[in-house]
Amino acid sequence: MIDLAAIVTAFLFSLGLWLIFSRRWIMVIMGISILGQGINMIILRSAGPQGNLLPQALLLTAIVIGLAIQAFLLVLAYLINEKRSCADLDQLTEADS
Amino acid sequence: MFFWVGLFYFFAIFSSLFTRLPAKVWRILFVLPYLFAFAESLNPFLEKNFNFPRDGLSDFFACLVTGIGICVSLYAGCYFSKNDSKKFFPLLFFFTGSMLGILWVDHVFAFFTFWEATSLCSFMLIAFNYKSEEVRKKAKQALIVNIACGLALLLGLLILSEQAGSYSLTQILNLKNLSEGHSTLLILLFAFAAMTKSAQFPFHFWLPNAMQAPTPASCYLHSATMVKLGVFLIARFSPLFEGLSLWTTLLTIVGAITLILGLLVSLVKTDLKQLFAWTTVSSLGGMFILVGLPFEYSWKAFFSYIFAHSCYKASLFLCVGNIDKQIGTRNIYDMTHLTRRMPLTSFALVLSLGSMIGLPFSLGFLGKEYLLKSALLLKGASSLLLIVLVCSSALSIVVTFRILKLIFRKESRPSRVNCEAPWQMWLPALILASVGWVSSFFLKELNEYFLNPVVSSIVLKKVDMELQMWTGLNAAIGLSLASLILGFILIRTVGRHLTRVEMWLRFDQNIKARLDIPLGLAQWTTRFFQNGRLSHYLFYIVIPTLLTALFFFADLKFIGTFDFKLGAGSPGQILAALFTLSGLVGIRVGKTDLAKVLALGLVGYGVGLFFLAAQATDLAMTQISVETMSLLLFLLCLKTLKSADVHITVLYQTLRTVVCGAAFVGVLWLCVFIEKDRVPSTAGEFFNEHAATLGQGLNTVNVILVDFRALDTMGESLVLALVALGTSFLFRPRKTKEHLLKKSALVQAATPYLLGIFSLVCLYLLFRGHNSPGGGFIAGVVGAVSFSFYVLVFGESSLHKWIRFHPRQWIAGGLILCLLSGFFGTVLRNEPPFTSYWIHDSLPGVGTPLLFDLGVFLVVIGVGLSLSLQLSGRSRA
Repeated sequence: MIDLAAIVTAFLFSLGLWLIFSRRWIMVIMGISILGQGINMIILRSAGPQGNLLPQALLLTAIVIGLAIQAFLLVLAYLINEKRSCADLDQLTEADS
Repeated sequence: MFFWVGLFYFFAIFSSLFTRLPAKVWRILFVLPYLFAFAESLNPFLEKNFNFPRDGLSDFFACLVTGIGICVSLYAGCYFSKNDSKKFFPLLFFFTGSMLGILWVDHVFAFFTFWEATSLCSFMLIAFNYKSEEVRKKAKQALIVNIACGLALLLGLLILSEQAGSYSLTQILNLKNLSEGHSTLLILLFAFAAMTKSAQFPFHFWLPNAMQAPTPASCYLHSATMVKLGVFLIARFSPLFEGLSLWTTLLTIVGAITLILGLLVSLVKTDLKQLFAWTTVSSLGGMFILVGLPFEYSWKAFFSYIFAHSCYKASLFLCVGNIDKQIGTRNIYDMTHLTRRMPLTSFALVLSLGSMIGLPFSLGFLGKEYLLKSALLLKGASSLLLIVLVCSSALSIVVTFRILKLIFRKESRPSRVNCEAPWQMWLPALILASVGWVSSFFLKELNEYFLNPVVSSIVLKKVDMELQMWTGLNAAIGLSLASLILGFILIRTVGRHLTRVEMWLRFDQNIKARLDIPLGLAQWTTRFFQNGRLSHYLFYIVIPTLLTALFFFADLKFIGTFDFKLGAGSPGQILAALFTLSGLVGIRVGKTDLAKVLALGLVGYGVGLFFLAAQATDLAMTQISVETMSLLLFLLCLKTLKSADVHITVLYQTLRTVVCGAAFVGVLWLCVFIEKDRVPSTAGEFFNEHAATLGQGLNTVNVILVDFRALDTMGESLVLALVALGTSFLFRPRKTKEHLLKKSALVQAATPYLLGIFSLVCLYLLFRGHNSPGGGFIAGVVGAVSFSFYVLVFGESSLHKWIRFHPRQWIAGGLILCLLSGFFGTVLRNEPPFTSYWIHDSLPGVGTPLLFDLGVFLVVIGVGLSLSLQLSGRSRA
């Protein structure tokens, strides 16, 4: 049975992927964040209705870690963009300073 | 064993501190651990008593490692400048510790870990002069080969320990009746691991390239010790595969090819170090032949061959280092009249070369003779092997002759001054060279104390054999003479044309590059697939994943059994879906980045509402507060990350649409699939049942986090702390600049009250967490958000009124609290870490889990605060 949550999850996934393919820093980071949320929804779904709370505990930390990863990516993007404006991520070939 | 590994690791960590002492002191200090370890590994031989799990084979290798280590550490102290020493010695000690670890541990995983550690050391030493791109490339090559070897080894060890039902190496080695199917796979795995580590054809290429490492490292790792690990591995596991024809054939053929190939290449090398690198490859091939031959007799040859090779090759490399250092070149044509310029080094060089070609009365002679004798024992294919062996010793004579001719050649100009290296540099070379000669005069002792224990430990039964210098005229001597004659014929005929070959090799690089089809193909493939475009890489990842999914989709015939009815949602779900979908639409159609980021916030809150609708209150709280924090961070970066739109081709756009559409369908299918065939979980029930009794909390999620799985949570806090630390290091050199929100009387008046209220809220959330939704993570994020908002309004300096410490101190304090609560029981009552303790009577709900939660809270708040402070450009740096 396809319910609302499933449809939303699928939308989260495909839009997240779409954004990751957009080759712009901020969009890519947003895409990763949205993709993460889609994955979280799937994990929560795997818990099922009978109240298995273990996935919830795992998700709780996953959400916070997701924030940390997003922040780290933002910082990296911030530093790279501060040095030289790098519009297209495909032009970013060497990770040197 | 742990003491010795620990000792070397201790030196690895603190050696750069020791170099602050006067040069004379630390140079001696760095030799000392090797001296002690050498004594330790020599001792069992003299007492004829080996402590488990050490045995003859491992202690023999340990003797080589530490003995050559003495010479190398003495040498390196003088070879390197002080700054280079600071870089070199930690790696050297780390390497030695890991080598001893490999040799002396019994546990399979420890063995593997140390094995990988040596690969890592080798990588770092090759990349010693990492500023050159050439060097980095070669180091990477060596690393990749060695890691591949490590993976094969791991797989082999896992299969073996599964078979033996034990992780002890000793028990694995005593494994009987290995099944046919397993043994073939295992032989391939172990042979692959050994061939890559010991640079056998066709994986030999990394070793000559590894000569980018500084000479003491090349000497120690890439000729004397580490590359012999492959042979050690084969010898160690040989009882399992003894007598299997695949084992014998594979090792012998690979060894024979490498033996000849290495020498042939070394003939045309003019760089002395490269030349010796290729002869090392060739000698390793010789060892492979020996370990492959299925006779107890060949282990005798193995022992003498390895001993001889370690001594003379280490000495040769040290001599190369001396020449390089003193004359400034490694080209053999610049070494004319070396006997006059560097007499002691040349003496060591000549001695070692003598041992290399196996002159009588040297250890090399023994190695060569017994190699020939073992080959003679082989029936059937022995004649081919004998031809290879004879040719190889003839070739080694040619190589040696080339070098000797040059270093003895008188110069037409008046000879230059004596420029002998300091004693710390020639002495080790000379010692190692003379060991290869002197020890052959103590054959009786060598047989009794060393040979028999070593061979017994390899074949796992008591043996009694002896090495003899002269066994009368026999076939082996005849073959040696034949190779000598062949060598001289080669010198007379081919020798003088070698220079021409060299010239051709050097000048025709361009033509060769054009003719090289595999190289061109490889370059084309690399350009096509690794074109540096991240989006292409993404396609390479996503498309195969989707194809795999499609395969399952088609194969498992799920489509027919699914009901694709639309289910109605509860009102909560409908609201959440509205939030999320409108957010997604907003991201898709939004014109500005700001609008998109705000829409992202909408998506996040929508997901939070979904969590709420699924009765996961903790998750909803976390998600909503985290989303707020993430919005804040995005907004702070928005200005810097502004960029023009990217030009996107139609093809790219189409491909992207197809991929995203496929992902949509795939995830929808996955969701339905998960709903239908759920894997039953037993862990969940356990937690539900015992949360109230064992964990003393009604909120199972929180109890899992701070009690049942506290170790995981500890790890996660550590990750958070690392992120904060990483960003603060990245931002360290930056200037701080203050930019506040626009002044607004209402906001300014309200913020302090809000902060007060929020502080109380997050404390409340923290303390109720164990029994009702809440807890350290949620409280921490809420706290971080409120503090960050306060900073945006009033600036960083005003925050000190509220929080006394720097965010980093909050993080550190939090981690310490977590650790304290975790190890409370360990220290006090000797129980496993992270066992919980409660104060039952007077204060309900107070115990180590609460302390742990408090620690998590502090970490999260510190991380959130430090991130937002840094991104708002106001870090104190």
